[in-house]
Order: sequence, then C-alpha cells, then structure tokens
Amino acid sequence: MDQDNLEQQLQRKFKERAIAPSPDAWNRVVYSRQNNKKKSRKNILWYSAAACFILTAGIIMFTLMRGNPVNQPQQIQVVTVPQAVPARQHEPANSATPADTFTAPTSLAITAHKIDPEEAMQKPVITPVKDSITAIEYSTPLPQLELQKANEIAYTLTRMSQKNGQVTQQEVDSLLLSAQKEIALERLKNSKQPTSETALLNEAETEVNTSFREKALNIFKHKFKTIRIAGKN
Amino acid sequence: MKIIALHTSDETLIKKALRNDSKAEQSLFNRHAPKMLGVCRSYIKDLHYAEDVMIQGFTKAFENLDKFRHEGSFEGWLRRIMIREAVDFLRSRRQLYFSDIEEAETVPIQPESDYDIEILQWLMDNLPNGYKTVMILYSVEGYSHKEIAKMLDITESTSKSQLFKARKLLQQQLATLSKKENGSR
Repeated sequence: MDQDNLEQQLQRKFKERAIAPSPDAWNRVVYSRQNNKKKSRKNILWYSAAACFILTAGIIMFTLMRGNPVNQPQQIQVVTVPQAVPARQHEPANSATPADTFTAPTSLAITAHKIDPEEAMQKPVITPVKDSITAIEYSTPLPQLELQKANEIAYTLTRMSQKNGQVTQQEVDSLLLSAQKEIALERLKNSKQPTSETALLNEAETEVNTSFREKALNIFKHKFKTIRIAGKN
Repeated sequence: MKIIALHTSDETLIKKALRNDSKAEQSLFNRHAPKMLGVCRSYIKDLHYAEDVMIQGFTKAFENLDKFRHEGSFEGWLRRIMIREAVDFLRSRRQLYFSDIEEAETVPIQPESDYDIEILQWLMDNLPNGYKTVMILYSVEGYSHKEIAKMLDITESTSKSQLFKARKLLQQQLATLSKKENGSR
C-alpha cells in the first residue's frame, strides 16, 4: 500500500462514517431554531426603533433648519458709495445759488435682504444728477415718483410758457433741482432698509474731506497768486 | 390494494418541511444526523463540540431550506453546511494555524494493514488542526487546493504545504504505530 492508499482509506471510511447523536439532539435543534426566531424578532424591533428614531430626528432637524432664518438663502445687495464729489470750481457760475448746491443724498446703506424675483427684475435705477454724482437707489416706488415729478415739471413749464411767453434756462434748472430734491426726500422716506452706521460715517467723512480739500485748494490758490505777484514785482 | 410507503424520499420530506411540517423536519434530521455528526467529528476532536456544531448546522439548514435548489443531493448540501460550520467553529476558537514551508516533497508511506476508522481518527486527531482540516478537505471531501484556499482564506501554496506536512506527520505516526504493533506480537 502506498500514500494514496492511505488517503483512499481515509476517504472511504470518513465518508461513510456515522455517529449516533445524543437522544435530545432533535430537541436542541428545535430550541435553537426558536431562539433564532426570537433573536430575529428582537433584531427587527431594534431596527424598527432605530429607523423611527432616525426619521424623527431628521424631521426635527429639518423643521429647525427651516425655521432658522440664518439658514435661509440670502441675496446680499451691496450699494457702493461714490468716492468723491467733483470740485465746485468746474460748475457753471449761475448754478451756485444755495438752492442749486443741493446734492442728492446718496444711498450709502449696505443692507442685506431677501430679494423677491419680481423685484429683482427691476434692478437699481441709476439716476444721473447734475453734479455727476451717481446715486444708486432701490427701485421699488421710484419710476412712478419720477414720472409724477416729470409730469409736474412739464405742467409747470407749460403754464409758465403760456403765462410769460417764454421760459429761461435758469427757471428750468431750478425746477429740475427742486424736483430732484423732492424725489430724494421721498426716497429717504420710503426707504425700508436699515441704515448702516458705517456707511453714514463714510458719507460724513467724505463731506468733511471735500470741504477740507476745498479750503486747502483755496489757500493754495491764494498763496500761488501772492507768490506770482511777488515774483512779478 | 393499499400501498404503504416505507421510505419517503428526501425531496418529499423537504417539500413537507417547507410547509412547516415538524415531523418531516424531524425525519430529515433522524436520517442525516449520524453522518453529519461523523463529518463534524472528523474536524473537531471533542464529540460534544462536534454535536453542538452539527445542531447549529441543522438549524441553519432548516432555516435556509428554501435555498436548496435540488441540483445535487440533500446530503451533499448538508455536508457542505456542516464543513463550513466546523471550520467556523475552529476559527472562532483560534485553533486554525497555517504556517508555510519551503520544501514540499512527497515521502513514501507503507501502511501495513487496513486500519479501523477509530485508529484513523486518532491519527488525524494527533495532527495540528490546520494540517488536519486541509487533509480532510483535500483527501476526504475532494476539494481542490484553490477551493480550500478560498474557504480557509489562505493561499494555494499554504494549502499545499499544509497537506505535505500532514502527510509527513501521518507517516511518522503510522511508523510508530507499526513498531508498537510489531513489538506487541
């Protein structure tokens, strides 16, 4: 007999081998199956409980997230501040009256608010002012207001031309300026956005800077003239 | 004339068992349990543990009876379940160790007689579990080294080297046994 024969012996004898199990073996199988069923039921209960918990937690989280305004999508609209007002020496001499010196209050507020899609369609209107100051305003009631003011000016001009026969350029300019002033005031009244302290401070600083620059330029002009006269002499 | 069926086929019993017939299940158990215990015992030295593994195997078999496709014999299907359970048992007890060896030459063996199953079992029980498992899977169950490697999560070469070691140890044990037999005569 060789090696294979030994393995053949092993195969033949092990394959046909039978050992009688203990008498309670079948009862143990039944018991084991019952235990497994109980375990699977318990597992189902645990999984169901876990699923319910996760679902409830998810609903609560969703509700909280929805109610929290911080998590709402926001669109930030930034209104830029005009950097500098042009020097007054370039203005025409006849527009230097106190009434003419009005500059439209620029909207400096940097505000954040939710923009309605319809509102977003009417983007900020850029209103050119005589002093080349660009005022950017929110557009909600403005087109109607401007139209109303334009109609009023047209009506006034018509009446003046009927009454006097002609209308001077100065009268037209003063009418336009007063209309602009009224429009600007209306805008300020209608403005619902909160005013930013920083923007107001910037505005004040710009005004102070401008006046200071004017003063400095005047002094410089005066001194330059004095020097020129002294040089001539 | 009334015909009384003396032997119900496995297929009939399985169909009944699938309809939760506990008597059919018990019949299947009584029919196959001795052989399955023999399978488990060949892997596990302790008979009580072997019976525990067999009971666990039958429990799984009855729970998954609907997965039996009738493609092979029911006994073969049960046997595969028992082998897996036995291997899992040895693994859970950390009794399966596999070590690679470099040389794997076959050594001739000269068994002098046809040994009894108990002696063969004793010889196998004296082998380390790793060697024994591979040897039974290869020589008794007829698995290939590839299948053994997959089942035991080892490489094919490890399986081959385990078999070589098992054969070598068996030869030594048989030689000792022969000497004892000759000495006693």
